[in-house]
Amino acid sequence: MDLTALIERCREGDDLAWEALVRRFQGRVYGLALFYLGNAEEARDLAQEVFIRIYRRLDACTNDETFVPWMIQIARNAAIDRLRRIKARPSAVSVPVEEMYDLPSSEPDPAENLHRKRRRALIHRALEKLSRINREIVILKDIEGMSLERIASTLNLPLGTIKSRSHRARIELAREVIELSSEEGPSSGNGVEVGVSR
Amino acid sequence: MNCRDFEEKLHLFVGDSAPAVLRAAAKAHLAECGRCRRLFESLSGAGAALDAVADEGLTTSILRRTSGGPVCAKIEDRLCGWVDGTLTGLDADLIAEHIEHCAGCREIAVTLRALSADLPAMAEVEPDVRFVLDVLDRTSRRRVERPTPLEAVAQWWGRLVRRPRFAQELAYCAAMVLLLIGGGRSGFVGEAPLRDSGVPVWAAGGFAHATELLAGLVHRVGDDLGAAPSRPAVPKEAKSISIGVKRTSARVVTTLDVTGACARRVGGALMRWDTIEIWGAIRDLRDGIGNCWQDSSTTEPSSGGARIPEHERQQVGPFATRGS
Repeated sequence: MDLTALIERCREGDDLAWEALVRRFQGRVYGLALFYLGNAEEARDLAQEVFIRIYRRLDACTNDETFVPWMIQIARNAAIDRLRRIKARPSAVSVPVEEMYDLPSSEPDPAENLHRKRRRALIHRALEKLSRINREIVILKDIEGMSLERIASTLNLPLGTIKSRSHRARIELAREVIELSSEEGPSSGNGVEVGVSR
Repeated sequence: MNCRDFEEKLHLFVGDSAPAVLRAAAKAHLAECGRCRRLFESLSGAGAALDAVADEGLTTSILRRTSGGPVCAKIEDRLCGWVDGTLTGLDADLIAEHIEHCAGCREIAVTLRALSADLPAMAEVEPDVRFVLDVLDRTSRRRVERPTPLEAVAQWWGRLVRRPRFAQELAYCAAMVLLLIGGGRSGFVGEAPLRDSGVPVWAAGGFAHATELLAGLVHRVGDDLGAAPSRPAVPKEAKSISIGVKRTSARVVTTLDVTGACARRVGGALMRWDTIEIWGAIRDLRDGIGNCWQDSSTTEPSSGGARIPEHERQQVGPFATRGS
């Protein structure tokens, strides 16, 4: 389904189109909220809030090609607002990282599914060890696939800084993953094959 | 041959260009001297495996004393580019050679490659099935449409026409305008004589003529607007409104006919300048128009009105709201 047509129908007030839009992007928004908040309940609530903001401001997104970056920016701003509130009022319940990914999966092989969950949880923990700015760069660039230019404008940093930091952040993440997997042993899910071929 | 002689002529032995006598002497020396034998093996193809182990520490030592140490910390950009496949040519070869000898960078490269596949896949995490329903519950209020100025005017006019009292109000206003123009002391009739009934003959004729003109005008406007839907460029909304106007104009014509008598009475009262009679006649006029509206709203316009075919009304629905 063409995104431009879908957004246009949403602007016209077509509730069915809006439902389709929510279904298409809910995983993306929820995933982003998880990375920022690290708590499944908070992330779920935040994702809803993000969609409400999108619903109210849909007319503000004039260029449909920029819808996804625009949506990510809304999600990020909402997440930062929520983080500030959480700092002032710590959440009573904290869901372990493994449980965040303990959701129904279409993976037919249970062993593969388990491996994938462990791997994601490991990466999630490694991300939490990065500095805030490096974590955001990895989330926006490597996970969400945003361009460096847009990340620079989103984070309000010079493009050169983003360029140099993006490589450093990835290396840092790789080091954290290696360290965590060596601490947790072979069952940690860092089952990467040793040996590089080009 | 001693060690010094062997090292001086080593290049000849490696290149296999030494004379036979010299080669025999070198072979005898290598059999006795382990250091020179390892040196020779490392320089020849047979010692490649030994090279890899021996060179690791040696390279590090040399680099520390020359360029400042291992390059691992300085190649982050190029390492990421190499993993992503954006690095080409000599740079790619240099990185490949480096990670072949550097276990730390090799492990990082392997992890980076794995992350390149893992991270984009983590962008989406499906929430539970209730999520969509919850979002829809919180956004179920229909969005407020923002029409263009033309559409806004059309909608305003449509709402105005669709008001039940529109025809009554229009007829009332038209009657009052006629009375003020033709029935007052300063109207176009001047100081004309009054009949016993209170309404001069020429004034009654003037009312009838003016009413006829107004009815014709209203009717024509209704017909013109009613003809609009046949034009291809007319939008659906305008078509709906024009039919509504046409229907309303028919009611106005009927109303004007029926209230003619009341208008004459008001005109007479105005001519006499009897304020009590004026207000009484106006009240009767209002009631008369109201009754006429009641009748016309429950029955189809009879004569002079533009009758809207049933199939046309069902198709366009002049008083139906969009989407209802």
